[in-house]
Amino acid sequence: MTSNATIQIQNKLNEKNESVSGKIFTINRLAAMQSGVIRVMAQCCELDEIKVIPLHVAIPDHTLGLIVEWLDHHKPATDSELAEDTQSSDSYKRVEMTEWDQKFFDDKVTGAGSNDEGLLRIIFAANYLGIENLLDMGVQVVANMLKGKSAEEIRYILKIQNDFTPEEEEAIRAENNWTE
Amino acid sequence: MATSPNMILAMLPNEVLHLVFGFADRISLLALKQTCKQFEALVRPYLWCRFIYVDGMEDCENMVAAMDKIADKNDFHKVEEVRVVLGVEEKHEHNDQAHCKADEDGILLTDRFQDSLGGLIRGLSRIDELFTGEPTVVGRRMKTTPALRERSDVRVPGSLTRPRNPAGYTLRIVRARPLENTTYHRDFGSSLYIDPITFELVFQDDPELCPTVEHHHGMLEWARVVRQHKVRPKIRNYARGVTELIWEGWDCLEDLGPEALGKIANRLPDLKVIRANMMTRHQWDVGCDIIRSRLIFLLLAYLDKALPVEEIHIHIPAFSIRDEGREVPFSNHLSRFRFPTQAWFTLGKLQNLRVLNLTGAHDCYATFCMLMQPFDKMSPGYESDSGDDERTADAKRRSRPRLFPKLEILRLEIRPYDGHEKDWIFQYTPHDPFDLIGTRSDPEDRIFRPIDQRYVMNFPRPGIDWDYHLPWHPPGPQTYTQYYRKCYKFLSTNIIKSFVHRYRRTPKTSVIEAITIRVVNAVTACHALQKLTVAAYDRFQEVDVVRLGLNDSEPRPFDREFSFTWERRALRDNGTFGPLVTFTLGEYRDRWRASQRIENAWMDVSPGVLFAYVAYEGDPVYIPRGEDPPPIPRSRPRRNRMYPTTDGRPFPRMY
Repeated sequence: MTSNATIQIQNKLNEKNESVSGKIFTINRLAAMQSGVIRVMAQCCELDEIKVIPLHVAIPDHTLGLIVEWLDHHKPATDSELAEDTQSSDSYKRVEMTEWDQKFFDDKVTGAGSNDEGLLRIIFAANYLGIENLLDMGVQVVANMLKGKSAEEIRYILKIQNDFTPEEEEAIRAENNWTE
Repeated sequence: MATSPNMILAMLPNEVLHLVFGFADRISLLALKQTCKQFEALVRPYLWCRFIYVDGMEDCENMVAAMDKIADKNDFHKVEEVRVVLGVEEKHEHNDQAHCKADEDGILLTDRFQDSLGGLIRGLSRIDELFTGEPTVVGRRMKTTPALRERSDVRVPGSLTRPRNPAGYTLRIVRARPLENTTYHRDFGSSLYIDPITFELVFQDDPELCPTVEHHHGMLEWARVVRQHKVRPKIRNYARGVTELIWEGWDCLEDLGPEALGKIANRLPDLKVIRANMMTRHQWDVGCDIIRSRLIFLLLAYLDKALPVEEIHIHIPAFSIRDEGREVPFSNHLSRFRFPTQAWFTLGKLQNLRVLNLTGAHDCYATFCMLMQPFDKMSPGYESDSGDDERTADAKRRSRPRLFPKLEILRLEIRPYDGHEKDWIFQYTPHDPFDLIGTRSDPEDRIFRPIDQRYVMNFPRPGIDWDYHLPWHPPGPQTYTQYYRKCYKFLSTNIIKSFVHRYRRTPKTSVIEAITIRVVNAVTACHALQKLTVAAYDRFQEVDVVRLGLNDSEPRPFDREFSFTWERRALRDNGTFGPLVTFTLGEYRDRWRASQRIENAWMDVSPGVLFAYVAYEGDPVYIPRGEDPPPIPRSRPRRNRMYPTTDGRPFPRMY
C-alpha cells in the first residue's frame, strides 16, 4: 500500500443531533493510523477489505473534521516512522506543541466561539480514538489554563462552587503549606 | 453538549484527568485541590504520587515501609520530587559510636544517621523497582479493540503506562536539625585519608590521633569496615529518573556526609544537578573550616566519573565558633590529609561537568586552589625542570586527561561570615573572620585556650613551596586577635597571589562568572586590587564582574560595609567600547590611594578606560578619562613587562 493511499471514516449517525450526521471523512492512511482505534482495526482485518471505517461513538462533525485536519498535518512520512511513533510507551516523550498546534488550538478548538466546549470535545474524541499526541496536547491546554492560578481564580474559570466549610478550607491550606 | 459547573475537568474521564494532573505543575495542583471537595479527593492521591515526602525518618525500615505504602496506593509515573527529612537524632556520647556496620550493599553505616541513609538508598531502590520492574496493574498497557473500549467496565489506562516522568525528579534530603555536642566525628575525620593514587579512603590508625580508648576502638572498628568494603560503592541498586539531588545540611558527620552524598549520587544514573548546602550552625573549633574544604574533595572523590552530572553547587556557610569553655582537641587534620592532586590526572572526573559553583566560607579557597592545580600543571613551562624538551612536555600535557573537560563556569564566592546567631557566645563579625566579638570584650583573650597543636595549612602555591606552617598560638607578646589578623592578612595576600597566578593560566574555555573576595587589610587590598587589575587585562577578558570587598582596619563599625564594586563592561570582541570600571568607595581612609593604584595599573594596560568613582555617600562623581576610548586589543603579547608606578619607579610583576 502506498503512502498516498486513503481510507474513509464514517461518523456515527445521530438523528437527534444535527451536528452528528454520519458524514464520511476521507483521510490519508498513514495519517489515520496515528489513531490507536484505527490501528487495531487494521491489525484485526485487512484494511483493503474495509471501504469505510465506522465509528461507534458519535463525534460532532466539526470536531471530527478538526481531528482529521490535525492527523493530516502530523502525518508520518513512512510506515517505519509511523511504527516508531506508535511503538511501546517505554520511550515516552512529552509532546511538544508546535506553533501550528498552538494556533490550531487557539483558533479552531478553543476559539471561534466554541471555547471550552470545543476543547472538551477534542479531548474526548482523541481519547476515544486513541490519538495520544492529540490527547496530550489537549490536556496540556487544560493544564495551562490552571497554571499560576489561585484556587479562587480556578473556581471562577471553571465555575466551581466552593463546598468547603471555612474550617475545612483552613485545614487543607495548612496541609498544603507543608508540601510547599 | 451540556455544560456543568465544573465544566471541563468534571466531565473528563478519570484517566484523562490524570493526564491533566500530570501536566499541571505542583502549584496548580495545590490550588486545584483547594477549590472543592471533588477535586480535593481527586488531586490528593495524585499530588502524593508526584511529590513524595518522608518526614522524620529514623531508620531504614521506615523509608522502605513508606515507599511500600506509597506503592500500594499510587503509581510512580509522575514522581517529581522525593523529599526526605531525616530524623532528629539523640545526643551521642563519646562511647556511643560503636554503631559501625555495613549494609549488604557495602554502604557504611556508622550510626543511626547512616542507617537512615542506607534506608534512603534502599527506598530509592524501591522506587526504581517500581519504575522499572514488572509493570503494576496500573502500568500495564492493554491491547484493546473498539468493542472492548465501549465496555464501561474496562478501564484503559492509556497514557498512565509511562514509565517515569521524562523530566526526572528531584531528590531532596533535608536534615531536621544538627547534632549537638558531638565531637567524635571530627576524630573520625582526622583518621581518614584519601589515597592519591587509588583514590580510596583508607584509615590511618595512628594511636596519636585517637585521644581516648573509646575513640580508638570505634575508629578501628570503622577502619575494619572501610577496609573490608573498600568504601567504593558497588552500584547495584539505583534509582533512575532522579535528575537533581539536593542535600541540605551536612552539619555533622562531615566526612561521612559527602561520602553518603557521593554514594547516593552514584546510584542515580540520570543525575544532572547536585546542590549541597551545609547547615549554618556549627560549634566546632576553628579548624573545622579547613576540614570542610576537604568535603568538596571528598564529594568529588566519591562521585563516579561516569556520572552524567553537569552542575554542582555547594554552599558552605562561613564557620563560627562556640567553644563553650572546654578544650577542644584540635586534631592535626591537615598534616594527615594529603590532597589527592595526582589523582586528578589519573581520573578524568566528571566528564560532563559544566558548572562548578562554590560559595560560602573562605576555606573554599583551599578547595579552589586545589581544583586549579591541574590547570597549573598543564600550563606551559610547568615541566621545565623535568628535563623534557618543550615538544615532549607539551605532548605529555596534551595526553593527560583533563579535569572537568567541559567546564564552562567556575563560580567562586567567598565570604567570611554570612549569618548572625546571637545566641552564640563567640562569633565572627561580618567583616573580619578573625575579629572576635568576644575578644573585644575580653582583653585576656580567653577564647582560645592553649592547645599544643600546630595550625598547618596546605596552601598550594606555584613552585616548590606548598605549605605555610602557621603556629596555632601566637608567637611572642601579641594577642590572639592580633595574631590571627596577621595570619589572615598573610593568607589573604597569598589568596590573591595564587588567585591571580592561577587564573592567568586557566584555559580560556573556563569562564569566570563572578569572583568575590573579601580581604581584611587595606594595604593588602590595595596590592591585591592592583595585581588583580593587571592580571585582569591579561586573563580576565571573560570576567563580567569582579567584586573586591575591602574592610578597613580599626575602627571597624559592624554596621557598615566597605566594598569595592568593580565592574567591567563592554569588553567584547568588537572592541568598540572601552570598559567602564566602577569603584564604589566607602569611607575608607586609603581609598584614594587604592583607587590611584588601581587606576594607574589599569591605565597602563588600557589607556582609554573610563573611570567612574562613586562615593559611598553623596552623589557619584564621574571622572572620565578620554571621551572616545580606542578599541582595546583582545590580547597582548605576554612578555615580561614591567609596570611603572605613579612615581615612575618600576615594580616587578608578581610572577
